[in-house]
Amino acid sequence: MKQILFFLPLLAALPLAAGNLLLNSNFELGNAGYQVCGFIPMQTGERTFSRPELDPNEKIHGAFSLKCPSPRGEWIQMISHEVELKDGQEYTVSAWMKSDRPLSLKMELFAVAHRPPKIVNRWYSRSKSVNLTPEWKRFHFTIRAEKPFLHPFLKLSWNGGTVWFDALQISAGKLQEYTPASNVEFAVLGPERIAKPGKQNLTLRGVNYSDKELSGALNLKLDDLYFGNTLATHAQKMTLPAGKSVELPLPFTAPNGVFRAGGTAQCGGNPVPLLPFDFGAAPELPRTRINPDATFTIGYSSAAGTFSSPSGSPAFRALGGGVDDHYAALRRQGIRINRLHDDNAFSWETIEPEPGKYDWRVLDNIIDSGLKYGIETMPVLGGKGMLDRPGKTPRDNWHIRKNSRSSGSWMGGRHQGWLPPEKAWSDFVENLVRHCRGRVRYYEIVNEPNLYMTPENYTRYLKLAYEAAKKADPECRIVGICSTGDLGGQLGEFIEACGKLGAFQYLDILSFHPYSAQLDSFPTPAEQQIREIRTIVDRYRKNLPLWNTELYYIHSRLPDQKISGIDDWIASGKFPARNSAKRYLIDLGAGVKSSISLNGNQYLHNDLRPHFGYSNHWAVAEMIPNAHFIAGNAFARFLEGAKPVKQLKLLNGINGFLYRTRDGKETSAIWAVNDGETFEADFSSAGIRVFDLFGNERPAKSGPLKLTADPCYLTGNDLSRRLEKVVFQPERTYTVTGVRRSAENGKEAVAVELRNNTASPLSLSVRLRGAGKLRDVRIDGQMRKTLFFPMETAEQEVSVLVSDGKVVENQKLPLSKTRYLHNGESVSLNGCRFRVTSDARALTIAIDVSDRKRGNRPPNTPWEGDCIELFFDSRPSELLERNPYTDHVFRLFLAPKSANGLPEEFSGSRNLDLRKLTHRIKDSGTDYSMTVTVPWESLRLSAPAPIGFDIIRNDSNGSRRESAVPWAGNQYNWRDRFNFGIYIPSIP
Amino acid sequence: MNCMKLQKILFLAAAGTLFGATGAETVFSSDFAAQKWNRAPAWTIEGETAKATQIPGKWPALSYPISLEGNNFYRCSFQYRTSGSTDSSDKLLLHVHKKYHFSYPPVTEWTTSYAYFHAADSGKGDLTFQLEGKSPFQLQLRKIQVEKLSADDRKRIRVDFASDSGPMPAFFRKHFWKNAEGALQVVPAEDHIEGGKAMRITARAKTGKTQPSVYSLHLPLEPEKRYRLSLWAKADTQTPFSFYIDGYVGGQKKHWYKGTQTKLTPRWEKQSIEFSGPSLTEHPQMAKQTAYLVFTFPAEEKEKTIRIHSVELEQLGE
Repeated sequence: MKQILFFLPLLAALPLAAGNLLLNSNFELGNAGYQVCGFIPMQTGERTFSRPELDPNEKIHGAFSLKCPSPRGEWIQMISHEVELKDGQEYTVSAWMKSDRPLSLKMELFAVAHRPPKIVNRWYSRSKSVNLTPEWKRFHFTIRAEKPFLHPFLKLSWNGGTVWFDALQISAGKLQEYTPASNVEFAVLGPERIAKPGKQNLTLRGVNYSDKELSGALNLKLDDLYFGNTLATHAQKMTLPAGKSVELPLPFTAPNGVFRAGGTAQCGGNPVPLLPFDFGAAPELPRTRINPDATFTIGYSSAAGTFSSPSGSPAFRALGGGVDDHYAALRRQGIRINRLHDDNAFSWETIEPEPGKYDWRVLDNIIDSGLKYGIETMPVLGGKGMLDRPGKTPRDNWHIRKNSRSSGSWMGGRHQGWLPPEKAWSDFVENLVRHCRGRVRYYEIVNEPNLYMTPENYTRYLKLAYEAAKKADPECRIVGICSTGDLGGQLGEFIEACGKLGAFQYLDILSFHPYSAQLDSFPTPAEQQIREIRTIVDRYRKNLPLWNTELYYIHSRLPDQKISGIDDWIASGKFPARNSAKRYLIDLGAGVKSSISLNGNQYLHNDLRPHFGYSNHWAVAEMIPNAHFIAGNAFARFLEGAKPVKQLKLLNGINGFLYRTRDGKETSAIWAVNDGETFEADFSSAGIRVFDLFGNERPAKSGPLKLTADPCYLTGNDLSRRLEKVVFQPERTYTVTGVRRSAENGKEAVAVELRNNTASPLSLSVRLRGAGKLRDVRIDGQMRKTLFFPMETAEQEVSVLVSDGKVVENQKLPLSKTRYLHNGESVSLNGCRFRVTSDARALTIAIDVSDRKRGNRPPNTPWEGDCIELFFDSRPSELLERNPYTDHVFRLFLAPKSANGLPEEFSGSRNLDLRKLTHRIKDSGTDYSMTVTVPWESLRLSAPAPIGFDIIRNDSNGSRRESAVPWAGNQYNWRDRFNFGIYIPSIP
Repeated sequence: MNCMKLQKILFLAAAGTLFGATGAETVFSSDFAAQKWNRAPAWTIEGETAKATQIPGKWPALSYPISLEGNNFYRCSFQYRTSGSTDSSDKLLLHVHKKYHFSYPPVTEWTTSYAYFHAADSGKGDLTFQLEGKSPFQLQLRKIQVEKLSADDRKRIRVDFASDSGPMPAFFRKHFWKNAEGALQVVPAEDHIEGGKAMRITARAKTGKTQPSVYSLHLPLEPEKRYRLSLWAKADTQTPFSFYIDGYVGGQKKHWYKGTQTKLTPRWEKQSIEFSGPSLTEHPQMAKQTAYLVFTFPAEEKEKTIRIHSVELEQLGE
């Protein structure tokens, strides 16, 4: 996506000599460059928002001021575009302001910098509170710019009345006389941010602040912000009379998508500012209520539109429109289910602050607003009643908290699991469901309980909730389990454990959060995980519907496949719309009944503050759709209510499904599994119509169309038969999946793995640059092969030359350092010594540990106490693009008796049959030694071969582990097999 | 086995690897100790090496009679090196039977070079090496050999730069470079799939645009046979590029050539054309049964660099 790149030229075009860094600072170009939002308390039931107006009667400079009406006196915020400051330079922020009554207003320069690994989530605020009166007055404050906060924006927050703004300024030095940024300024203006596709009613407005006539030369264009291409250009000359503004219509037509109407402007040969206008285009969707039991739907979490107001209390944030505008926008992006979670609006503690006293105002407001637009509300019960920080919260004296007990589990070291009083829980659920009967169909019981509840506790509370809810409304649906795969959660194991405990008889729909298999490019592809969940669920309750109820991060895995040790949650929340669309398509295709993946803020586009380093919704004050919005709209148009028919087997690297739409027709969606991979296929000669991610039909030209990671929809009569005729060709016939240091014939070598992307055999020549040996290889269709080259480099990068006989590809690939261990070699490691030997049958690891004191270890987590961890990867030179574990990675744990009375432990990963291994643990009381023999066949090897190997010595001398020292890897060995070293057996 | 014979075997093995010759019949090998070569005073013999110093304005020659059988293809190979060359006119000339003429640039290290020709008639004549040039450069020459090429040998003629020590390639030379500046050089080609060496052509137009060419020495070309001419090439920036096989004979109205235009990119890409050898009815001048390669491209005021690797002329079919 190109938003940032597009915006930079605009900033660069600012006249450097200008004293004022704020564009359109006296609002002669409307509110271009500024956005105003209001905060409407949810309890009041108020729905409207008064938009800002240009006021010709009140002004300081030019023809207008900006009036921000506040008839109810609610909190309002106006924010500017970002400005670029110079490090160490002094700047003064000033504004002429007045109000309809005395009130206090906070002037703030605000930024968040996030450029990991050096700068991580650093917030910046410099502010001054001022008192406004009905008299115009200029207010100001001075700051000194400092790295890394060189792109702040101006945020003005107040409540209690209407405020007028004019002649805003940010200029270097102390307070200066007001001047606009330039003698001439232009802006593209539009009537709506969510437009219909087709001819757009955009205008270009220019203003001349000087006392002589000036003319501007403009090169205007309409850019597609998602695909990065320019759809239309328009050259325009505009004559601007002295001190006047002029407005002209623009002739742009837009299909479905997200766009920027902008360009460049010159006056007298010099660049002058032109503020662009960003918008999205998508048609309206039906608002009639549907039945999600029978219709595949998509939804959002946290879509109640709430945000912390400047006072800190949650309120509906009116992003340029009222409550109805918000729900209309939700529906227009395909949303049918509004999952109330992470929303700051729905919570047990605010609904039932005192025993038996309920305040339904906020919930009613949300439910009724949604229903008006065909959106179901699904509250998630539990919330902070089940997971919260212990102590020092506003809930310390809440009646539920005071009577709750700890679940014994913690999440992230800060949040504790709580078990509320069972009767209070049952009463709350029953009263809630009774109150919402007829308006709310779905209730989800506890968010991600596998992170902080045992299966037993969860099943207990699920049963209580189910029984209470059904008592109040037999027609309601209980959505339960909600097992997550992130934050270390074992998604499948929790489902299985709950199933064994009989939990599935207390729910109507099973929910899960598939963070561990976000897309089909994951080590466990998303659709495979869904099938695995289906298998588990069917063991206990066949055909129980599955819902994906949360997936805020949807990545293809490629960008972060090498684990750096930093979990960048801010970056994780930003991903292209193709990923959300793919997740919907996979969920539907694999038999999930609802896909409630995204968070309600993820559809917002941040147009004016490209350097802002935190989630976009902290930097916007207007509802501008991004590509997720339009992709959701297209999905709903094609596939809301569709049924899966089958997964398509087209060619490795391409995924897709065939669906039957609600009107009985076949529709398909297909895409390249991996980002950056491209295929070609001739659909038109097969009579298939092709539509892009946003639902635009791609021109029916003869010849092949490119298929990328952006899904496309296919339609046509008898589609499945027509698809059989289509031949898919990869643009790249082969892929070098990766390189790593490995071994061959008992010697160190560099392994290079190649994948044939075609269906036919492929002959290739391969050579490492700098190494003389040329290898010829033939790879069968859709298969992989690894070649080994004698190690000739100590470099951290290697150039792989590959030729298919026509072209030589030269790819530079990182070559990580690897430790090697040869048969019989003895190694010292942090107070222990280990030796690995092998023969034709087995591998034996002998470890002697010097340790004068045994510590405690918790049950079932041997690595938390005195323990030797062993890691094996029997295919270290295969699947080189995937560092996560494969089925050929095995783990062993050998622990002596612990100080807290746990016996010796010899355990391992599930894929290892421990009965075939022999081991011995000998504890002298001061030192201990261990020997384990692993037959090669247990590692799924028929003969000795180089393997990935590592060992970690964990040491505990008290209540917890004090150190964990690996031989070759690091603390991420548990998830990154490329951390392991290589063990080289002797060649017979 | 004596030392000389071992050297010959090694040499033949190397030639066979490079040129695909499997059954070439050696009809002559230099043996300066046993053979009495006619030589100008500028030439001396030391062991297996002949040496000469150019006398500017003269053409000192070294020659020996060889017999050729009519209607046969031959390849003459030899190793040479030069020192002290300071003038671009300096060269080594090779004449066979006063009918076939070849020219080689100064090279600073031992370089194996080749000459292909088709003997129309049987007979005896001289194999003559001659110096030419304006600077008093020194030249050493050894391992002269003439082979008769079998039909198998002629199926695949490969011209690479593996035995070129440079700086200039022995088999190629600049042509039509009046308005161009630049050089031909043998350079490492580590980024090519085979590694080894490539010919680098750098050229810039002195003014405006020009079309410099690079010509090869002659290659065997049999009438009406199907051929594929292929080469690997790349350029520093995308550029048009033409390559031809050309049978031009001065003074003849007919001109036989086959070629194509393509674009070179910064990646090594294999370029090829397929064509039929000339009909002698239509092109009687092609009875000489040899043709040379032409590489040409537009040069501009900004220097362009092109690299060529592994040129092959391959007979198709049969």
